[in-house]
Amino acid sequence: MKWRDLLRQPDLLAAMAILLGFVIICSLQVFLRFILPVPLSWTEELVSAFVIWMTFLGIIAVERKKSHIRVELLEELLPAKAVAVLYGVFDLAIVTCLLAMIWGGWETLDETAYQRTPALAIPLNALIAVVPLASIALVIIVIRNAIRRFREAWA
Amino acid sequence: MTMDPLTVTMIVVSIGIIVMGFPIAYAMILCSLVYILVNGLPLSLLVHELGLTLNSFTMIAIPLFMFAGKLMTASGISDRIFDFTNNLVGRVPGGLGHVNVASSLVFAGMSGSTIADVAGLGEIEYKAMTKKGYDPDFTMGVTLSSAAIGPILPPSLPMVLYGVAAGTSISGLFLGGVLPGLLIALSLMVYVFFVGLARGYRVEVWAGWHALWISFLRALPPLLTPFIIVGGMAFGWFSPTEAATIAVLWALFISAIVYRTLSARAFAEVLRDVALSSSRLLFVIASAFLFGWVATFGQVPQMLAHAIESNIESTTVFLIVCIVVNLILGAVLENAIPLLILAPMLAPIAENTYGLDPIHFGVVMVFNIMIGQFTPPIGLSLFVMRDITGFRLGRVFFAVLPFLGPLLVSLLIMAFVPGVVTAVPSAAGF
Repeated sequence: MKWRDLLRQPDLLAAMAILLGFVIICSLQVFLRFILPVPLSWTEELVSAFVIWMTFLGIIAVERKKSHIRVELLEELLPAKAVAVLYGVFDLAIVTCLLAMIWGGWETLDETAYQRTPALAIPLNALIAVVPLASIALVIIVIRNAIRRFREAWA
Repeated sequence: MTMDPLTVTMIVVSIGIIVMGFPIAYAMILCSLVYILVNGLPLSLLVHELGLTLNSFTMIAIPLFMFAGKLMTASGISDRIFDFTNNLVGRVPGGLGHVNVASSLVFAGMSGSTIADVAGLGEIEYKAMTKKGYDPDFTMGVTLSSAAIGPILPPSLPMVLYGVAAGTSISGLFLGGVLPGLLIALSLMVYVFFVGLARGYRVEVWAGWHALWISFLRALPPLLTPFIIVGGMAFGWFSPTEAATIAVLWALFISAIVYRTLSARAFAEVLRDVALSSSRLLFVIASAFLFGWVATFGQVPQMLAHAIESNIESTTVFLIVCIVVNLILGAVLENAIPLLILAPMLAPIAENTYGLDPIHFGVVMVFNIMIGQFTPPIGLSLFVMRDITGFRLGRVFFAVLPFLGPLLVSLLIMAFVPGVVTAVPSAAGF
């Protein structure tokens, strides 16, 4: 792993930072609850809130590496051009999903504008916002990857 | 009661496009999206279900258990475990085959998935065995099938997923997996014993008690991991997420302080790998919950319950039907789907209509679905093994095929002798 490669992927770097944050905050909670009898009320809420951020930032990096969980059977059986066409159709469907997630995310932000988490009063919108934001990045990456796949198949 | 044609179509289409290579998470989002649009539901539902499913403290156990397992692997404990089990069981007929199974058993106590076990131990086991003249197919078979202990012996990622989806106690499921994990190891060792005798595989030279003791001490820190996790959960001291946190701290302690094999670079690589693989998995989980919500809205659970209750009278037949259906689905689909959608729908039926213990049913379902890891087209661990050995996927599958026998025998024992699963959790008061 090269550090420079990592710096070029701020989404992955942020997901890693959040994961490290989980480890530190959860350790703090375990330490305070078992060693000193002072249970913290905010740790669970804070950590839970950030799972959604880690997931959607991480997914951007997953999409870039094209390493989603999928059945690779046809990919091995079909010629490259047929795979490019089939996956091109799939990518159109994926982009449709992502556009719906951007649109739906926008609507959700309106609905949950005044909701906050109980102890820390984190606005729910601050959590949900990552879904439409990540979806925008995902649309760009999916389209870019599709164009590359077509070029390589016909090169 | 008739099935809503749209819901049925959606389920069939989603399975179809998944088999054709559509990314699993997006397949479930796409089908849910169509359902939402056709029924005139608001699009915000999509984001709400996807996002807020993840807003849960229990979910953090998933990246944390992955983290602990990866840290242990990165710190080079695989070699120490292999040395220890080699001194312990290497001289039994079947030789390194038993070493392989015993290593997986120890490894399973630190990792929570089949893939982690194949990736962590597969290479060293494969090299060690083929170098000593073991048949590569036998080696692949025993390496893969023994990794099935990973998701059964605690900790277990699939059990966390199932527990969240079905509302079954995760600590209870973990404790319920202790004896079945040992049962699977035993059944594989019996098989390896007879194959070893029949083929006359060379056994290892007994290195003596002193060597065994030294290798035991060297492997002791990882050997203690399951006892810490299981003990803490049995006494109700910690929640699954806290157990996962303690597993991470223990893994850090072992790799950075006891063995001193963890560099800053290795730590950063573990962090990167876990961030990637856990967000990939959590995305599938979120989409499966969305799909499950849509299925519930389309009254699939009710129709399923009705269809089962009006056709099946005996508990035995019900269990057999569940096992067969989940074996097929586990084989055709990524296991997150049967685990997160179908099995949780079956759980209340099993408990209310057929009087099955929820922990018993849960552990049986998890193992049942995990056996699908070893069948094409999606068995992910087959791909890992293919990458280690360079053989074609078909050959890897036929290598593991005979080993499915002992695995299925273990499954049937677990299903029809409930005490194997429930003894430990009952003793702990679950």
